[in-house]
Amino acid sequence: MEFDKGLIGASTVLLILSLLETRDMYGYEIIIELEKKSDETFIFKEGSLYPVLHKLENLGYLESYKEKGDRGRQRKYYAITKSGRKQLIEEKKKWEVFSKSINKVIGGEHYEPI
Amino acid sequence: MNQSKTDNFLDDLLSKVKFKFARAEIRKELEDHIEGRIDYYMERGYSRDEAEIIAVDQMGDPFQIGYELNQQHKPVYGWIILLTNFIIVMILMFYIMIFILFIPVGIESGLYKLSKFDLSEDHSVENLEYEMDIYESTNLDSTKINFEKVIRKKNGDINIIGSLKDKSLKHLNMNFLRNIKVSDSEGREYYLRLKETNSKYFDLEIEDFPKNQEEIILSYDRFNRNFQLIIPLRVGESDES
Repeated sequence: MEFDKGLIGASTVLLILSLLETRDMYGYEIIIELEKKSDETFIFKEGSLYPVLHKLENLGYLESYKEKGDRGRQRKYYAITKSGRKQLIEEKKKWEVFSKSINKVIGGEHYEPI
Repeated sequence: MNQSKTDNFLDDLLSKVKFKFARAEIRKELEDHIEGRIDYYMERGYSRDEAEIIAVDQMGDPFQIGYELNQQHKPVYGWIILLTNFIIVMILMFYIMIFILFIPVGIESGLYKLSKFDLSEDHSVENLEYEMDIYESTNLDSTKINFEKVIRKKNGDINIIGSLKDKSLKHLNMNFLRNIKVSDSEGREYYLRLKETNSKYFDLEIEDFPKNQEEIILSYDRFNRNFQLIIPLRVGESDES
């Protein structure tokens, strides 16, 4: 399924931060994990991942380091920082409120009265 | 030689990134990604050329991505980061140097604290008439002067040992101690020598202070700062003179 870019954009930060919470990854690895974990729901233009990663790094949510991966390639790995973990909690909260509100409007199955 | 699809893509993308110091790293990172994708498709039976076409196509619009990356690598912002990194390194080096310079002083003062009264031969037991703890302190601006010990020697010398503390934690210069005037109760002045100092302790030596004097008076009066300290001495314990 291909989603509208804006729709993915809003949740990219949440997705990236949650993936990196489990372990450090390089860009391509993040894409592969996203595909796997979402049963290939999230397929988007892969290059657009990098502006987001660099932005999160500038914001201090991620930090990067270089390490030799398989085949001796220098790879840029991303790791979540302390403030990144805080932000992840915030993003999760926001997402819950957001999805609840959407479900309220459309009367979806996950609707729970607060 | 023809440029590869990957190179074309990266050139287009990097043409949008103004901050040239960021380019090499971005190129490497995205190249790595595309390489990974090419391998992925080759493992699934595509030729290298086919795999590269799909991989590059999947990356998206190079100009759009380049534009977005440029937002994250603004020249001013980039320069600030380069500059801050540089400054941080300089500050670290500065502190490391300070640390290295002050280690010897630290060790020395530690040793002195352990055995501050028998460092030199002058303070050896043979020459010692008596020593006496005093607990006198006075403040000059932010510096606290503690007078801790009086050593009376058989040859007539008196040593006054003490320490300085400064609230501002700056490195103390002890030379002002040379301006302390030493006198006896009858107003005669004596020459004072600042003998040993390290970062913390000082040793003031007064030569040939008469043994019949009951007290020694230290006074300081310079630049509107002054103190006076009268230290009582023991007399008559050994009347040699």
